[in-house]
Amino acid sequence: MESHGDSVEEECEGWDDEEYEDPALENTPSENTLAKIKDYRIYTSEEIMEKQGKIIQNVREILGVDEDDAITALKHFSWSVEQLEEKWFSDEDKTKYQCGLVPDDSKCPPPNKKYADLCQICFLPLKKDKINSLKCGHIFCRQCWTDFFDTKLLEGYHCVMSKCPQYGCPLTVTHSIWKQILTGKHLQRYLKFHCKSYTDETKNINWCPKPGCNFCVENVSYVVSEVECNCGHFFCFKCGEDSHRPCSCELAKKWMMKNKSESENITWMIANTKNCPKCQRPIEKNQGCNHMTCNMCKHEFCWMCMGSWTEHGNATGGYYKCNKYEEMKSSKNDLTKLEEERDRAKHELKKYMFFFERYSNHVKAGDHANEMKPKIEILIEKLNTEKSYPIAELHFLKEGLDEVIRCRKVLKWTYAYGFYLNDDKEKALFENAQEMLEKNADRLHEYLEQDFEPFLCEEELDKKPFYQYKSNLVNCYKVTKQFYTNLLDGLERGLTNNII
Amino acid sequence: MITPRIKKETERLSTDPIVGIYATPDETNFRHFHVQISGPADTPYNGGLFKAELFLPDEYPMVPPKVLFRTKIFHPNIDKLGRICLDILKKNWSPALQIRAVLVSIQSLLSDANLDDPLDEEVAELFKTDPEAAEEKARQWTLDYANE
Ligand SMILES: [Zn+2]
Ligand SMILES: [Zn+2]
Ligand SMILES: [Zn+2]
Ligand SMILES: [Zn+2]
Repeated sequence: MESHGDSVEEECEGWDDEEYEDPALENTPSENTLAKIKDYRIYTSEEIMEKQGKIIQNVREILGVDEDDAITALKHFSWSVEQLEEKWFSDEDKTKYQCGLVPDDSKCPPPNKKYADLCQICFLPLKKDKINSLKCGHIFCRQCWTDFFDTKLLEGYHCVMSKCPQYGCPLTVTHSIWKQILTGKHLQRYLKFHCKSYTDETKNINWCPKPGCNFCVENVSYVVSEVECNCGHFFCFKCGEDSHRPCSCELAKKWMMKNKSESENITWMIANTKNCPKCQRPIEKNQGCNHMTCNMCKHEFCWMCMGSWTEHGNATGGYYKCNKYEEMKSSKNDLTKLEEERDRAKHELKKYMFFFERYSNHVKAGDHANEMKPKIEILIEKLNTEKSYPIAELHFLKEGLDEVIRCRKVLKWTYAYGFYLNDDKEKALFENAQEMLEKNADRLHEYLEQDFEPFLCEEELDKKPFYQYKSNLVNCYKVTKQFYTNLLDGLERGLTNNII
Repeated sequence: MITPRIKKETERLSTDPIVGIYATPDETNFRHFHVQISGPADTPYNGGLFKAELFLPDEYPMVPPKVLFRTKIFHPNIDKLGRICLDILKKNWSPALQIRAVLVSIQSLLSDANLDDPLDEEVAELFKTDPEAAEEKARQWTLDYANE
């Protein structure tokens, strides 16, 4: 499995050739980051089923039971072999009963003779097509079993825990009955749930959340939070959301919630700016006096009652005293408090807008970089076919773009991180690291967005300019990557632990 | 088309009726039953006749029947709209259960309310804090609404 920390050097020939002298960067890949990132494994669905099969086989041997019983018991203990073993060997009979491996004739006896040849669900005589019944002796025809399973399959993967259709029967329906009854799509669905019951109950295995992706990830020691699936999707193993380094899951969630609620807050601000009653131009009250004059049409009106100022007089309690204002003042205790609250909110909003703007800026830049992917592919193709640069010498373009995408992702989250960061001396360190990464990522991005026509021009036979360009880009790439690592390592090692 | 199972169940409901319960299929819809349950003795519902509708969805018996009270009743597990909170009508349903079992369970719910899983919190609260007043109210409602 590849992780971005080490893949580039291996794939790009000429990457660390002596022609790019940059001694300071050569020997400083962060061991720490690499070790952390490599701590997970990716499986295809076939591989994970194989892994599940091995666990079942293992339990069969330990407990001396058949496959069906092993599966039923494992499901009951959420696929924890240790827990199952412990309970099994301390009280086998009780554990068997709890797992739904033994019938309970006292609570739910088999049907009496009179009905023994009728399906207990549809009341039709049981045809002789033999169905392996459960140990409890409750028998149902094939059609009723099929209908029963079809209904259960709608309930999601927990359906694999279904009990015998007889009311009150404690027996768990066995894996082999499911497989015997179902066919085609429905059987596939069941087998998927059978696998999911294992993966979803196992804490350190998660499926890649990208729609349509069939890989799953095992987080071996459960230390890393960010994983990169073989499909290319980066996600947080802990919360399943898009990767949000350097923020913790909680902080990332808080930030996303804030974005949601702030958009409502902005609506609130808008609601608190009134429109001039004459020309409808929005006016925000920024002084204490209620006597408002519209900048646009010069209409004079009262902020409180929105009435024309000329109508203000004795009837409203004097020119500078709107009755409504006084009313509000007495009813709300202190209107100035309201104003203060508004000022505070405005300040808070300004701060938020600062971080949000930069956050969404990187989101947009990241989207642009993603859109560039096909263009870069075409460019590589052209440089190879038209100008006969060896493909191996062109990988740097793709790698550079991937790095830009990675940086944009981290950079956007640094603004969420920064928003919640307390003011203190470590903040300066963080902001410096952020600035350096931002500057270099921007530069790298710019290299990739430049005009490539001169390199493709037919008359241009000199390859030097292109190699010079490559050299510049690769150097910039290395520096950027170093700042990327520095920033994440620094933050995750606790450079700044002062999140509110 | 009527299924053999519904046919058999319907026949048995008329040939072997349950004491205190009358269930007759609708003339135009064999999946629809008009039900009357007489209030069990020794309960505030005694003497009342409670109307209900029972409906068998297309997926029956894989999914439970739907039952709705039509007569107003003061009971912690039956709400103002006549909906009933009963485990076998929800998560504990088994396709091997029948209409009979459902009706018998509803009848016994009238004698044995489940205060731990109420549908109408207010009613349940009164039964818990002042059972006498609650029973009196249930008796009054029985007289007012279930007395035809
Ligand atoms: Zn059947
Ligand atoms: Zn059974
Ligand atoms: Zn994936
Ligand atoms: Zn997360």
